[in-house]
Amino acid sequence: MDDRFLVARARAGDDSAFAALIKAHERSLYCTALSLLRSSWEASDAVQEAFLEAYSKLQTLREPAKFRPWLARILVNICYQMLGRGRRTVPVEEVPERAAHVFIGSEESLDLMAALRSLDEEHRWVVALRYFHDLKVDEIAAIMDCPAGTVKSRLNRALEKLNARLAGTIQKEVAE
Amino acid sequence: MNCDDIRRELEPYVNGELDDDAAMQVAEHLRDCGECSLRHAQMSRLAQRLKGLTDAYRPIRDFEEGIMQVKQPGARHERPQREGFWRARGWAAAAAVLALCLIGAVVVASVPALARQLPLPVGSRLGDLETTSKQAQLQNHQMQGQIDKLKIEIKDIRSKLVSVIQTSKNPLSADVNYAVQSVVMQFVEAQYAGDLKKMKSLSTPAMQAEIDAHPQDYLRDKSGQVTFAQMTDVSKSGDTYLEFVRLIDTKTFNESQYQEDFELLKVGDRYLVNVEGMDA
Ligand SMILES: [Zn+2]
Repeated sequence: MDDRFLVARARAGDDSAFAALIKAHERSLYCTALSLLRSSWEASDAVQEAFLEAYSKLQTLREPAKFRPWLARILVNICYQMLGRGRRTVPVEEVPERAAHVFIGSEESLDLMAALRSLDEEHRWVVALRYFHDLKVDEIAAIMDCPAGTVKSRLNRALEKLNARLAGTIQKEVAE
Repeated sequence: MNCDDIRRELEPYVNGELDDDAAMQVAEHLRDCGECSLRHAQMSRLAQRLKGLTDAYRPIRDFEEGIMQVKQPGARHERPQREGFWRARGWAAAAAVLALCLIGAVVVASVPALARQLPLPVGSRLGDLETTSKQAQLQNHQMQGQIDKLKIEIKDIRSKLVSVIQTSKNPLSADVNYAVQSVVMQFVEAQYAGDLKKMKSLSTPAMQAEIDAHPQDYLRDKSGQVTFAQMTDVSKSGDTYLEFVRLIDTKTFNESQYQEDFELLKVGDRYLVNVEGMDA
């Protein structure tokens, strides 16, 4: 269903419409948070906070058609805060624990997520916004507050690095 | 445009973001240039795989519920904190083993055979897959080995037949198992009977205070009939006895089974519930 329609209904007080928006976007948000933050639980917290903020500020969204980039921007700000907070504190001891997600992908998907998480932060952001949130270069530039040209070159660079880090699996698939 | 110019445009080209003229130029170049054409193929494949990641990771948390809690404070309090609380306990391994063995049936005939048929989602709960894929595979493998060694017995506990899965490495005596499991079963029955007094009589002072503070968290739907689908054997960590119970009720959880996790302490010669929580 169209975001615009759901946003309109949610603004009119229909919580089931907002629930549908959650279902439509939770995985994109979660993947972005997972690629940027330190743990899956932190990612899960970030997504929860993002939806809470979106829910409380829905009336301030000027163009309902722009719900997707608007929501992505909310998440980006929350992740920035979390990353900033973490830098000042000592990480909690690493205990093996259950992840905050169920994983149903292939081994290649795991490798890809690991490769993505190994990139510089600026590269992870553009890849996540582009491929998880399906945003245009201009929209990403607006969120990251940088020129469109910078987004383009970061995207190119990020994909090159991913390609290299996946150590030939992509090359092999393409050759087949 | 030369190869360098083309390569700068490949990412937007792959994502359909170039205008018609620019797209045409790239397409023409790709037809004639093997090197760029290979880059293009790799980038398309990578783009496709990146997009696929959003289908591979399914967050467990119910975000809608998170919002409804804030909207109606007190309605169902503290669930997110509780998740944090659970994981801090390091119960994941035993809980995961229990979850693995649980596919619907009350009596599980052959765990090893069943475990091999398990879909990946359940298996993936065994470790934090995000750390590294190799480590996760190793954990999965180790866990599989453990599952192959699991024993299941049908036991008669307080006149109820329950399938008990042995998950602990160093099994405790039959008496301890029976005593702890009996307390846990009585506690669950009291939860379904709405009998706070009974629940408190089976609890440590700390747990009694917790029940007084948040009784709604511990009461279950009174009209529900509860079935004990499976239990673990009792394991001990420090002074704490751990017991996991898989339940089905006819009301709230009629379609999916759910799990209650218990921590008990020995006080005098009695075992008392010190912590109780629901788990997915
Ligand atoms: Zn070329």
